[in-house]
Amino acid sequence: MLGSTVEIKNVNKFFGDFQVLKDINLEIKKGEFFSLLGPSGCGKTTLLRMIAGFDEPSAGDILLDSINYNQIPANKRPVNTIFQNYALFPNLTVFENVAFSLRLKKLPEQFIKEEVHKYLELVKLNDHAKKNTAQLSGGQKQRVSIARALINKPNVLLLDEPLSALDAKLRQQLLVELDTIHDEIGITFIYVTHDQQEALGVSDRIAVMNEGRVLQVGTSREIYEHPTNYFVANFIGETNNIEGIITEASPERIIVKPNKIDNLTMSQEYKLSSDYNENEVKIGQKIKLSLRPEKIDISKEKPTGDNHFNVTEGIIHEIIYNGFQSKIYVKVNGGKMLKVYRTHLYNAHQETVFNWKDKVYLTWNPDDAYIIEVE
Amino acid sequence: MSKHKTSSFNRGLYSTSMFILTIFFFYAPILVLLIFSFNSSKSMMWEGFSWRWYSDLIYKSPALWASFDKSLIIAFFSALVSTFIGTIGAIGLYWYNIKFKKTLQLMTVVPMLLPEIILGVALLIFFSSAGMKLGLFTIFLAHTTFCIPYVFLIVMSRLDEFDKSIVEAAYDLGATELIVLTRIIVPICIPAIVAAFLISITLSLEDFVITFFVAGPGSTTLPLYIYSMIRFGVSPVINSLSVIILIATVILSLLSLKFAKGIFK
Amino acid sequence: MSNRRYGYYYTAPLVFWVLAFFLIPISIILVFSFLKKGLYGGVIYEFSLSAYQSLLNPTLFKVLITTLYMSCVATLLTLMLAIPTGYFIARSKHKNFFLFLIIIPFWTNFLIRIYAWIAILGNNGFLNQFLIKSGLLENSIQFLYNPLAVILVLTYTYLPFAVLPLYSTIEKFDFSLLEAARDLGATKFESFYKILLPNIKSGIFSAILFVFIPAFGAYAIPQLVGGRNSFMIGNIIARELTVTRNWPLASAMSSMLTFITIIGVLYFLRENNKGSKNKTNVKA
Repeated sequence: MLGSTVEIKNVNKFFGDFQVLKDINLEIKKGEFFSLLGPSGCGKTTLLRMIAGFDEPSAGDILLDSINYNQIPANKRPVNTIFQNYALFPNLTVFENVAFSLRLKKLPEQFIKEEVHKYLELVKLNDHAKKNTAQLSGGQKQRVSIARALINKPNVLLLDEPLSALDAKLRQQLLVELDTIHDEIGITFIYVTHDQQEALGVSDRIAVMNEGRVLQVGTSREIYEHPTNYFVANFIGETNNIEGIITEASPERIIVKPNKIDNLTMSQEYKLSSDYNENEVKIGQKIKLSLRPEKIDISKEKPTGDNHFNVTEGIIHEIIYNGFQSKIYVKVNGGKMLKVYRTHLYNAHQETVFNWKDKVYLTWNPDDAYIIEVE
Repeated sequence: MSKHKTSSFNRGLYSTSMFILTIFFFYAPILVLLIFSFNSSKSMMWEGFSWRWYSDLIYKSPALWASFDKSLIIAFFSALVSTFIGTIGAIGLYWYNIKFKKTLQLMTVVPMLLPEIILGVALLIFFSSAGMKLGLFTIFLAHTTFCIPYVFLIVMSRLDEFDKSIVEAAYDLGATELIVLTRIIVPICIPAIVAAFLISITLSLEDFVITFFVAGPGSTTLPLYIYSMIRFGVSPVINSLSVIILIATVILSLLSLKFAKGIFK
Repeated sequence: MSNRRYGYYYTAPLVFWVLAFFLIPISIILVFSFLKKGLYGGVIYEFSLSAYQSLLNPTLFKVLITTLYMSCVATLLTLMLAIPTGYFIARSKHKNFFLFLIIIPFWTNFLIRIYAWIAILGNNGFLNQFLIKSGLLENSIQFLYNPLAVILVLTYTYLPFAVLPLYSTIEKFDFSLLEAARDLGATKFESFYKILLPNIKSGIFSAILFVFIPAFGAYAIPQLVGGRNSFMIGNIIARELTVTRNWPLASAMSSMLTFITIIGVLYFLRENNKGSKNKTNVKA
């Protein structure tokens, strides 16, 4: 494996009195595509700038391959950055932008020429070598900056919202290319973004950040399917937040009495499971659960069969048709509004048609609900 | 043309007529000067076409040309020094978060906003108190002082077009301070530096009020000479001189606009 | 951070120059304004308020009022021409060409612009000659050397200073707001008065700043086209400095001008900051 490991140990950062980073600890593996995901102002860019060497931590250490880099300036780190606004040198051509770091090393002209063409080839820009950077489109500019960084053969590539200035279609395309380049080159990528789709799509692992803290680290699947935190569950994808009180707690499962959801049929009590540490939850505690809308099944007939499933009934309040799926808002008995996704599959012409004010049954597997907050 | 006329009428009769009035107000006096610079007589009555005042200006006005030489020398050196000081000052303020950044910025620009007479009076009192002999050198110092704010603002606005991330990107790619300065910052400032230099030349060549205060005997610049021509007996030579200055001004400002393209947004 | 040191190297010449040739000279006149006048020019280092007291004597006070009156009228006239002109250019298809038309007089030599008016309005000037020749007048009229002539030339000289900032603010204005106002029932005048004017406030303010301040401190214009009854502070300052040699009085008047300018600039900066803050709020 190429690239470096990056360790962030107890990093804190203050701007004046304001604490932007609070006790950050992360271990990023060699060659990993690692994302820092969070809303603007969560501290992700500040953290990235510290790895690059543009900012210093107020406390804590940044280690590359177990070597402390706190005191090493940006121009001496084996790390390169891709900036949100490309940061191409306006006075240099595409070729000279990419050649910049090699020229600083005073390498022979022939070698520089070959290398630049190799890396321009990698980002599919060989035809544009002689152009002025102002003549390029946004996507092309960002490709130049990728080539310019990679030619330096860094151990770690830092990407600071590299796609946010591009339009949606181009973003998708460049994201796939970035992923391909990562696979080809194999160095460590640290990718900062506020866009959950980007992060989920390409990352090996994601750290979700908010208000200067890392809230959860995991693979895309873990973060989406198994959020451990109220913020993470709501920031990534859509979810139903269900509040309730624990009425039974056993090593295998807990039983929750949810607020505003009445008339639970099938099972005597409304059951929700979790692999939450049972020592942390006690009878009588208030609790919040996350239930993704696509995990809920909707039907006009009362479901029969597996009585491990939770079932409730309600009235359709609103249907938003999106083509491949519909988002249905159901007001269940008790007053709670639940979102349900219903995907229109190959047999769409045969499927039950739901209408406004229809009476429906909602069913879900208790294993699909996760505890995201315990009081 | 006709298309443009209808569209301007759509924009409102009032603003169109005020615009025409403004343009007339601006150019009528200039036009009168232009016409009478070719008048064969001394009076402001048209008596016939003649190049007389142009030939008088060129061949019979040694004192005027001597004052022009002085103006040129002062303009060149004060433009040179103010461009240097203003440019590196702007670069320093753009690049680094030094203490008192805002205060320095404000203090640099204030001389530009003060009525000219203030700087003239303050410098005259300062030079006299310091026992300096008034002359070309004090004029040079004064001109450099009032050109610096313009240079500073022009270079600063050029730098402001670029996000600071280009400096970071250069560091990130292994550049040292000196390389960032010589290969990135200065090259992107070149058009602004040229424009600032040309504008400083123009400002210096045309300054009257401040020069009036800090000039001494034997340091009559062109504007001081023109002033005395206006005050003490008008010769139509001034008409032809005006026309030539006007043409030179148009050329100089076209040039500096060309270099400053995109700066004065 | 260590590289902050380099910032001081770059700005050192600027700091030196601003200190030596601006802040120190300005401080000197401020100090001199509180000293006693020397017998043959210069000052005696003794605290005195006499310079400020003489600002209130009737002759000087009258000059102060005249100056204020003339620069206010000139500013008002300038705005009346500059707002529609800026509006016209901002909405025109030939912006660059029209702007260039405004910039040329802006760059033309200041004295020559004054001279042009002398050539037109002087006793033997174009207008008098023209009127006499066409039989409308028998003897020439003195158009110059009165407050009106000074106001006219002040307006002429500083008009470009007002058009440019007004143009750049109006250009950023979203003209569909005017249509929206008309759509909601406002008259043309109402939509101008209630929508356009408040939105271009910062441009109007900088235009006022750029015209009023130099007009208030004018020297050459009243000297060349003004008469006894149109003396301005600038003329008094020059006289006290070079003829009467009352340095404290010249300093006191200059300090007063400086003070007025700084107040204006600070107020402008504050208003401008307010404006930009509001804008970001809208975004958020």
